Amino acid sequence: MTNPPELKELEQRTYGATYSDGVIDIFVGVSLAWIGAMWLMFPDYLSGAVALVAVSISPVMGRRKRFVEARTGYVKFTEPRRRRERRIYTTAGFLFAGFMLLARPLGSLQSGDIDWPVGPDSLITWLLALIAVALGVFVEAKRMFAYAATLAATGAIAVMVDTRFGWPLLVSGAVIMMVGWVLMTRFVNRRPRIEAP
Amino acid sequence: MTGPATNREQPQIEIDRLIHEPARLIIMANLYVVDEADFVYLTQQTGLTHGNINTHMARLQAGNYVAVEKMFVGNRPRTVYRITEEGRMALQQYRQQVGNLLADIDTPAPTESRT
Repeated sequence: MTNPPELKELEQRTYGATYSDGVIDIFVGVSLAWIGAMWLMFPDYLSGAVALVAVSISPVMGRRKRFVEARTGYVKFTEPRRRRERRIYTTAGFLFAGFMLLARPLGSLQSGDIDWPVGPDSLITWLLALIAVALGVFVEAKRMFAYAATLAATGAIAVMVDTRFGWPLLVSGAVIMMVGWVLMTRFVNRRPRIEAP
Repeated sequence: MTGPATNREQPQIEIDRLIHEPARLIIMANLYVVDEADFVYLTQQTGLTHGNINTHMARLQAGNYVAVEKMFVGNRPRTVYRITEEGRMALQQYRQQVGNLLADIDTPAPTESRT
């Protein structure tokens, strides 16, 4: 059974609207900024910082669900949509964790005698930019492309300016967090809490 | 032979009037693209008032196009609506009916020759 194109568009718009609250953006921004700051100041604890982000995903998402449902209502999308979503987020999560766990060993390698042209933090931000592009394509959220551009740009600037490890993540995280804050403010203003009769 | 009176009783164009009403059509379209949704969601998506949704939902439910489930999430009541298989088929059929009806709308109507 295929959906008529107009209904498909309606579903895509509805799906996109359920992610316009900005909570995920703030969470991702804070996480990146936190990891970036830890990398700058306490590089030995980088894995712990990543682990803390990983364990906070579930409670944050639970609270986000309640926050959003109180304003937009409860909706359960079709099984193919949910399956696709699960696959995308699981893959993105594993790639993110994998890249972040690579960061420290890469950093250790660079402290040797070899003069590496690109720092590990720039590499990580570029890899994260690729994840953002993939999310932009699959989740149909155009702002992901802007995030990808921010990550790529901060990574490139870090190569040019030769900063300490962590800056690109800290700056990208701050930018994403600010965008998320703007989105959330707009979401709260446009969609007040509604009580079911 | 059928006279004008019979024609009035049996319209030649069959349109599902339960779906044809704009508010119900919007509700059906919104439910068609998801698995299930609650009252608040439908209010937001359709822009209809609580009373309107209640009235139209009652009719859609009576036509067996929509199934309703009332539940509690925590301490809060939640009314969840789901389009039935019958409702899904009806919406597809309605789309086909309207599509067929309007398919030739660009074709100029034939004019009778007076010669």
